[in-house]
Amino acid sequence: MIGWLRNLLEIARQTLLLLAANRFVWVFGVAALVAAVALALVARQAAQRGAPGDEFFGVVLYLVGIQFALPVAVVYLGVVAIHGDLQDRTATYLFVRPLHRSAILLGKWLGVVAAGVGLGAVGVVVTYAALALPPIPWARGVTPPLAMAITFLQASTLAAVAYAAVAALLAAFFRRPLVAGAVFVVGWEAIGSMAPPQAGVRSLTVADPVRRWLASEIQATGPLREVLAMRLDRFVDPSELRDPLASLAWLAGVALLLALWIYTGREYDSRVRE
Amino acid sequence: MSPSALEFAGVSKWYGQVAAITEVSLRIGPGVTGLVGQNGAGKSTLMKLACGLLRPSLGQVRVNGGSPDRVATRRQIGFCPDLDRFYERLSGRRFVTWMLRASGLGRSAAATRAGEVLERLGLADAMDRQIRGYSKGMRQRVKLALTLAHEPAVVLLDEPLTGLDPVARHEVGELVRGLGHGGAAVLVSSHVLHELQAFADLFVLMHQGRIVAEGALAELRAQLAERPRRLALRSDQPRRLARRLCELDQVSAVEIDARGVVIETTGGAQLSQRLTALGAESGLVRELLPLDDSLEAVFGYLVES
Repeated sequence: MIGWLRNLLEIARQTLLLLAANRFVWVFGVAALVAAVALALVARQAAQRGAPGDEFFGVVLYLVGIQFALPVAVVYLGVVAIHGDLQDRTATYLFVRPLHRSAILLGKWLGVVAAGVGLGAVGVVVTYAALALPPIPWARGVTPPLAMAITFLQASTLAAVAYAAVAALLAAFFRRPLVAGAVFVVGWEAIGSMAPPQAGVRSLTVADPVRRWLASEIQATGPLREVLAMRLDRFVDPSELRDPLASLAWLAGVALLLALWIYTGREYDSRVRE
Repeated sequence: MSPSALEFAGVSKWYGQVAAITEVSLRIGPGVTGLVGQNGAGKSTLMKLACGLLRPSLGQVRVNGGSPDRVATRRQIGFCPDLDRFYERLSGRRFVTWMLRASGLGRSAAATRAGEVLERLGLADAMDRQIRGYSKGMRQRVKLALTLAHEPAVVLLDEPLTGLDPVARHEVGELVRGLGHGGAAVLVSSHVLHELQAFADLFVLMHQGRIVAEGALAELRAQLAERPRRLALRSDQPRRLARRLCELDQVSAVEIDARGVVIETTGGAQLSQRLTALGAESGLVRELLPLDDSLEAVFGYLVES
């Protein structure tokens, strides 16, 4: 067990280092810096039109970061880390070494989670710095609160864990997991989060439990409250819904178990015949 | 029979309705065994089955008595795939170190071992450069280093000579021979049959997913005793020699070429004696050369038959 854990952690470390060298990560970093400068300019105009700093900060982070950038980044990195090896067959080197495939997959997942948490942290810190540090004339003098930034940091961590698990499942199962990932992030997440809760479909999304968790943690007002409000709430008895953390744990757990089952059982051999 | 480190018992492997390997039973012991076959013969599939990368549809594969699916068994296996992809931005040393660390070796032990084995394979000067700048031969050596780094008892080399220059081929051949002499069971596939012949003790000949013959080269040739052999007789007077040869019962075909005569014969030692006598008596034969004792020729005959 200790050996298995050591193998897992080593694979996670290697995955993180490989992802750190990925061009996408650097593009993301540069984009975050450019966005921060643009955001600081837009924020000044919004403030002059009467927007308070906490609402503006929350809306931007939620809509751009949690709903779009983070899922896209984590699913992409997950697919690159897990399916990239299978596609170019470099996974062969690991598969023939004396280590269990479960350690390989979970190690890669952990590496992707770490990368996702890192990117999420960069996004939150850069956004906070862009909106809280310059002297912006926010309405009622309300600047973006540090506590809210920390809550968003926690939310991005939760989301990264779950999105990485979904990416692991897509990468293990599909021949074209990037397409499947795009369908999940852009299509399924939006549709599933809008579905009536009684259908049970929301449990199969990451976006909905993350949103519900944020709504429970932040005393939101104004547009942020509207953004975090449950869709179709007139149909919902909140007590019927699973706790958001339990929902995320369930989704991530099931996705990882399925991914493990496929990854350890399947023969990944791109050359079917010599 | 020598103890078998690697054993296939009635192994078949199907991909859907296509049979890649059909009922292969084979035991490989210490020493170097050459795996010979055309593209699609099932050589790579056999190796992948041996290292646990594929699972048999039928039958069993055992490495020192254990299934290659088990992690403990894979500690005894070194597999060099026919694959030219790496983590290209890593150096050779780092790549091998990473793989060793992933399989449980400590940081310093892995780095030391990686350095030693890469140096042994002639990459001392290049091991700290990125793999993407390596030549084909250097990349092949990195794979070999990775294969041998944990000193496996069973070594599977899938086309290890591909892309190597003649000097490197010779060096790798010597290395493989050394592994065999050191007690490892080495199964090596290659299209370069005459080079395989130089360092393998035994051969397994595969065709269309089946084993058509196995054994030492002489044994394989003996299986073809009834088949006519081709002999080249060097001579300054080929026409005269041809005329004399036509008189011999055991000579079934005679062909004159620029350097002498080539005959086809089913005769064994007796014919050799007569040809030697003919050479001594008339001076017509300067040299006698068997043309089809090579691995290529034997393989060609077996596949034809």
